[in-house]
Amino acid sequence: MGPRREGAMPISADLLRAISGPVVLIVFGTLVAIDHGGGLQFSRTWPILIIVYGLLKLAGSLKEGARS
Amino acid sequence: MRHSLIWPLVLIGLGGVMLAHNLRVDFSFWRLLGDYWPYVLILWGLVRLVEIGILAAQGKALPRRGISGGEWAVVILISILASSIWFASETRERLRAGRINLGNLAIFQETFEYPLSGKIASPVAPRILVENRRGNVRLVGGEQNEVVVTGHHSIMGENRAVADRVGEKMRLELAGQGDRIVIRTNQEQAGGEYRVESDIEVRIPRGASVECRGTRGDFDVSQINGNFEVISDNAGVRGKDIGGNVRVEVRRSDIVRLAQVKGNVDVKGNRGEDLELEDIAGVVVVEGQFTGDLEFRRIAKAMRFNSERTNLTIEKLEGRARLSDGDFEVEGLGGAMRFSSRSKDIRVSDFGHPVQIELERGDIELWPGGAALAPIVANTSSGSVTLHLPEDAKFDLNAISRRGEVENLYGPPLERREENRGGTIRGANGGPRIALSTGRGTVTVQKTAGQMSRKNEVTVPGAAKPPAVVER
Repeated sequence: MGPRREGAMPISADLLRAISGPVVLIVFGTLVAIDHGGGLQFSRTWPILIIVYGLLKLAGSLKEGARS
Repeated sequence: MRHSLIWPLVLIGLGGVMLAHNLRVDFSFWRLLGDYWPYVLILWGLVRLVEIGILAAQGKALPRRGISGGEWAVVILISILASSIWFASETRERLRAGRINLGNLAIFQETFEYPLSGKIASPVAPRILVENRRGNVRLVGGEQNEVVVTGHHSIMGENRAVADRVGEKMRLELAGQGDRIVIRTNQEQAGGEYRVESDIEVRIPRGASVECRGTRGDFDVSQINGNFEVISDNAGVRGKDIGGNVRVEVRRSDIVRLAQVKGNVDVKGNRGEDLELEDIAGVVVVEGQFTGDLEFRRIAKAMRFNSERTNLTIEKLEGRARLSDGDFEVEGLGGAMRFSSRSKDIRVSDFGHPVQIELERGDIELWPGGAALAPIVANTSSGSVTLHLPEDAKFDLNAISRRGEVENLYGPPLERREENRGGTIRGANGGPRIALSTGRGTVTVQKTAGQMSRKNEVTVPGAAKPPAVVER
């Protein structure tokens, strides 16, 4: 699907959807970096990725709910 | 996102890293990827966040997905590839360190130590052979007439019973025949199944000569009047207060440091890192690839360094010379010097002997010491050449830039002329011949005694001095 035009949906919901990928990527990179640095192992911290993604989806749903 | 900065940045970064991989022998693209890929992902996410933030601030359409499906595929590919490299590297390190754990099957998990000791009567000037496959060896000369060995074996095994069995096979051997004494740790007897190391310290008569053989481990020898020789696959070598010749032949080494050697020094390093030679009374020959810093101080006779890209000969070095990846600095030449390299920035200072420099790429800066100059030839295909001449110097100078500027800050008798896309500086007042040239770059001649600083700016009166070679 192509990019959505402004006005099709509240900008904050669009924004949340757009940033969810980069945020998950940053969290993933950070967890792996912590693992390589000798801290908590990624095999133990990976659920944080699901939590972060869930939070972003939740925030997006709330924004959409508020619009309707 | 059509106009994302990510792909141009990825291409630039990838190109830069691969270029460094090709140009520098100590730089590994794969090692870098294995170590830093998580930060690449973080940077990727941050750049994308900034881009989305800018779009949002400008009120433009936002992408439905901040990271496209294709990008996620690349992320997964990078993750699999880089984590495989990282895992392989970690596993290799653990194997080296002797600790790896595969589920409930523990291999080489524990290290057990067994003390070693022995002594044997020795002639005043024995020839001592030390064979220690893995581990560190230290030999110190003294006034006693015996050879005394202390130390320990380290054996890595599943349990003590296994280690005991291996230890039984590895007897310290101390044998004397005539003036020859052999010290063997006999690690070969343990078989290749178990990882063993032996660290030993040996007290020897001061008149001894020492030969060391090993595969991995350091050799440290001091206070002997005889020769010192090391042949090893991978060793750090340190020698101090050696009365005879020193010969070092290593395939790899993190450091070769020799000080106060009365004889000749011959170092062959297939792939070494750092080298330090200080107060050497004999001839020095160094051959091989060294990726770290090379430092030479006070070499009384001729020294020669040859690597794939760099050749250096100095008849005598009263000061010091430092050769690193991108620079060569030398001060206090006691004899003629010849230097050639593919790529280096060079600074030669405090010299009154002939100097010849040939470079493919790099800057040359020359600070002759005193008014009595010697012939100088300095050529670079690409780079600047700067000569700092004493005010009352005598010379016959011919400097050429084929493509670039020429600056005469010295004044008469030198004359500057522009020719085609370059220029010349010529002039003579009855001194030795000085020939400077660059294919592409600036040639500058300026005064040292006077008012010129290194940046060609007028400063306070007083003689400008060449910068000292940086102490490490």
